[in-house]
Amino acid sequence: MDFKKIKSSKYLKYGYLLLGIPIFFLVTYYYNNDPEAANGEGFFPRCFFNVITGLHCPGCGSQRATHDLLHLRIGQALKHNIVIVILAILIISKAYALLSKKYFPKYYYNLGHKSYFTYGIIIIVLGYWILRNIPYEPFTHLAP
Amino acid sequence: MLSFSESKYSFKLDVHKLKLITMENQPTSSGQVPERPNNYLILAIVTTFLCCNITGVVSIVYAAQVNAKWEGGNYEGAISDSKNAKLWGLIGLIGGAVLMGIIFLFYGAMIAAAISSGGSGF
Repeated sequence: MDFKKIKSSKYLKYGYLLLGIPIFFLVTYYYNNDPEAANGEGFFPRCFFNVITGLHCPGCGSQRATHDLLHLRIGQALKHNIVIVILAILIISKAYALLSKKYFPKYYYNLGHKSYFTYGIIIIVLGYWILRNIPYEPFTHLAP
Repeated sequence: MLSFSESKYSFKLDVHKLKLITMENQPTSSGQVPERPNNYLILAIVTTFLCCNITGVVSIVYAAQVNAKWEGGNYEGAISDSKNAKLWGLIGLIGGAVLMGIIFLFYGAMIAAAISSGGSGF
């Protein structure tokens, strides 16, 4: 089997578009079902880290946040999980980098290629992980 | 450490390592600088946001080191860290999807058992 030949096939390049099918089903599923109100109905897997240790991880609350975000309730989504802000910034900067590289290379700027930005993300995520497990007053708002 | 710069390029000669380090993103004419590796930061954040936080955090750490090493001129280290970031991110995503599928199978089997045995259900 010549894998190199398959890899360079010009139709396989668009195979990533097949990912749209499961993503479409997931989006409709999370639009129609609310993980917060579901008591036993529907299928919402819990985080393994949360099941084992009982602590919150930086990804906890992401299903509720996705449901709220699909209904455009951004405030509630931020209450459940704050990592979506980082994700949004990253996707916007990546899109800007791709567009500017192609159409106006004079203003090319890629935020994701700056090391201070990536170290900032590490500090934010690890700090969020620690802070949302502190069971005292100002930090309880961070818990999902 | 000896360094000089022209309008477009800036070179740095590391005498102790006997190695010429080219700074900044060079045009394609210089054969020394390989193509900048993808740092897979979006994959890492998505993995953290979805199920598998631990492999996601490992992936974020590798992704951050890609940038730091690239800016420091360590191109081989940057490329290997890029591969590691991709590996850990994909382990988290695919492993999480497989685990979810297994749990879903058990869950479905439990529902089917509850229905067939005439249980009250939910």
